[in-house]
Amino acid sequence: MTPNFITEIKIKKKVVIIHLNKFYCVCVLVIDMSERKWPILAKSAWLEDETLVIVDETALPDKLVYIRANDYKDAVKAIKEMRTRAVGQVYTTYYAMLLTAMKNRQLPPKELLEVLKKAATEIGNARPTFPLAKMANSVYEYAEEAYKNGKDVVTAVENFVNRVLNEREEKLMKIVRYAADLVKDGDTILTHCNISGILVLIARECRSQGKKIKIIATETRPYLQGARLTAWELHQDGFPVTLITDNAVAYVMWKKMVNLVIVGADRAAMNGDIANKIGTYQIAMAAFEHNIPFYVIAGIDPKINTGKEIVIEERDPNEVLYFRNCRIAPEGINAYYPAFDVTPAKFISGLITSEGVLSPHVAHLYVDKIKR
Amino acid sequence: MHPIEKEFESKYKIQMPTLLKRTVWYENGIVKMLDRRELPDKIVYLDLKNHEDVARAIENMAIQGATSIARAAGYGLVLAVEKNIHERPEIFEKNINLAAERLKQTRPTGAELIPLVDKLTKFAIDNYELHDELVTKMVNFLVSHWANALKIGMLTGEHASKLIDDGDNVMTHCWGGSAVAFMFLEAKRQGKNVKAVNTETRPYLQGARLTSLTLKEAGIDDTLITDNMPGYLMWKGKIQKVFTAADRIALDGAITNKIGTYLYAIAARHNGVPFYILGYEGPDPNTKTINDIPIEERNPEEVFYLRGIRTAPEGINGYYPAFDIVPPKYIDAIITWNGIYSPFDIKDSLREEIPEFYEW
Repeated sequence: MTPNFITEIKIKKKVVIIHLNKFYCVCVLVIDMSERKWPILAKSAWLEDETLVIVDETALPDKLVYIRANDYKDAVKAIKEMRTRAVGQVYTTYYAMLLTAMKNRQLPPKELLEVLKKAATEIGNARPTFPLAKMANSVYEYAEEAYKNGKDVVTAVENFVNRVLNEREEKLMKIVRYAADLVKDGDTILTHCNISGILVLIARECRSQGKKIKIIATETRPYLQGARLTAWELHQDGFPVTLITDNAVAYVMWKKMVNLVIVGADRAAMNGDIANKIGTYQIAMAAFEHNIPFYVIAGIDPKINTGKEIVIEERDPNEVLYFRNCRIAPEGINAYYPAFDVTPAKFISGLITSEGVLSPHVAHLYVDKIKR
Repeated sequence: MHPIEKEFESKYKIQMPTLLKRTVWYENGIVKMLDRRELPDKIVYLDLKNHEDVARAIENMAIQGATSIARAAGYGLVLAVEKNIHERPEIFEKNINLAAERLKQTRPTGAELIPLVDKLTKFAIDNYELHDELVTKMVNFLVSHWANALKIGMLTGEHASKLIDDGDNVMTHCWGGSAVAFMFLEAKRQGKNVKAVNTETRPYLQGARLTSLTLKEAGIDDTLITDNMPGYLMWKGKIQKVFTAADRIALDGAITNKIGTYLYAIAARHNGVPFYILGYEGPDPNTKTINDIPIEERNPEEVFYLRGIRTAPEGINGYYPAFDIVPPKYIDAIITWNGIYSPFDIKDSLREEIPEFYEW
């Protein structure tokens, strides 16, 4: 109900215009003070009513483009085209299953289960190397179980997806707090490649504890995830970030410009060796040589005993020879592109896990709680 | 054909690679200069008509490398001499000094530019009465300057080749000059099966553009990698030796070279891979210790671009140290024109004076 002394209320973008009479009006600027909880790359897919919104990571940092998926087929397409990766794929997978359940809630439960099964298969096949199939199937299996117990399938799927993602987020926030505890006021953190928003969360946690920090990011050739994603997301959040080329790492350590290194890991073995983006190993050696602590955010894969067992993906050498379709080297030479490397445990000061910062040599004792 | 070119072709049975040949020379009143900005896509030579053209080409980075820049400036002075040789002596002297000042201001950091231009300016003014013959004398000096430098590279490469074993994969970083090519050619000539691995060398990509081109022209099997890969290749046993050049060697055996060299020296040490420096003329007698080596920090904008394309978002900072320093403890040997030295004994290489291999 509008009080009678107000003649009209208009809302233009962030300004509310309240007309008191023909001659006077009051303008109120509305500022949204609530900080977005998740950095874009930490949660790059979410549900808005019955649409799955996915951040198109291929457009970053030039543009922030959202893909609006109306069903799981749109989501599969986004995964296949690598428009979402890493953590984004996890959210896309779970939410695509939930979306499928919601959109088909009018179907008889049996048919709904069949649709869910089909969705799980197609999502699972979108990118074979990432364990998407396991995640999508877990949703389907939970739905099937709920049906057998005579429960509502859609509600069950919704509860399950929300629970899984909440648990994930709670674990992540534990990791973030343990990581932030390693950082002192005035420290500079060196990082490599991109850890999907986690570094932003760590930097925010430091900021809320009143610690001033700086970040040095390597550009991370050939795909430049450091330049395009890490530098971008930290800058978006207002943290001072300095970009260096991958070959400048030892020198900045020698100049005492770095207090600690924090990187992610694609895999960690039972013996504490880790695999991460190519370049991580030589950064670890340089840190070791300068007595700079080197920390890795990682969960352990119980099926892998040592780093030597980790298969290193070797990608198309043309990705080294060309930069955005422009050849950077003469014709007739070869190139080599291992996408990852292995850092032996002896170079790692600690694995940052949801159970705390663990020595890489004892982390296997906690494998049940920190496995990936 | 210069005697060193004949020696090269009879020894290695191939054409001399583009970057070993003269990349700047005098020809019928103009100076020809290889435009390195166009490499490796195109091999283009600029026609420079006067000393101002030469100065601008140097400023605009058409030519790189301290010795080449110095020689290019020398050729600029040749054009000024040719233009003014029929003027009265005082006008000649004034104009030559003006041209020399202009050429010396092009790239102030190069250590060889100023002494060479000063030496040639003095020679021109002292020998004004030679008239037309003066140009020929100066050109001959610059040609033998090139030939002597190439000979030093050849000798350095020959000594370095002795450290290479059959079946080795040898890594290099940036563009280490002629000794890199000579080292591989000489190892091959000795019947050793040797392959090269080289880093692209961000931000300027001298590795991808210059080293890869030269090794390809020399017929050496070469594999390009990005700057974050050497550690992994060493771990995998894919690299047996590392050789890089040095921009400066201190008397205590520390060296400075293109950014990244220190990182690879550390990685080599941890993986048991020998790390060698191609030291050409040897240490700088005026640089006593590691603490006397200055490090050039260049415009950070250069880190945000790759071959002219912006790679990073606006608003962030960049940091671009152009060089880093390797302490002697990481260096297994420094190879100079006159032998192979432990970095801790590098002073010994100065006992012998470098001869004029080609007189003018």
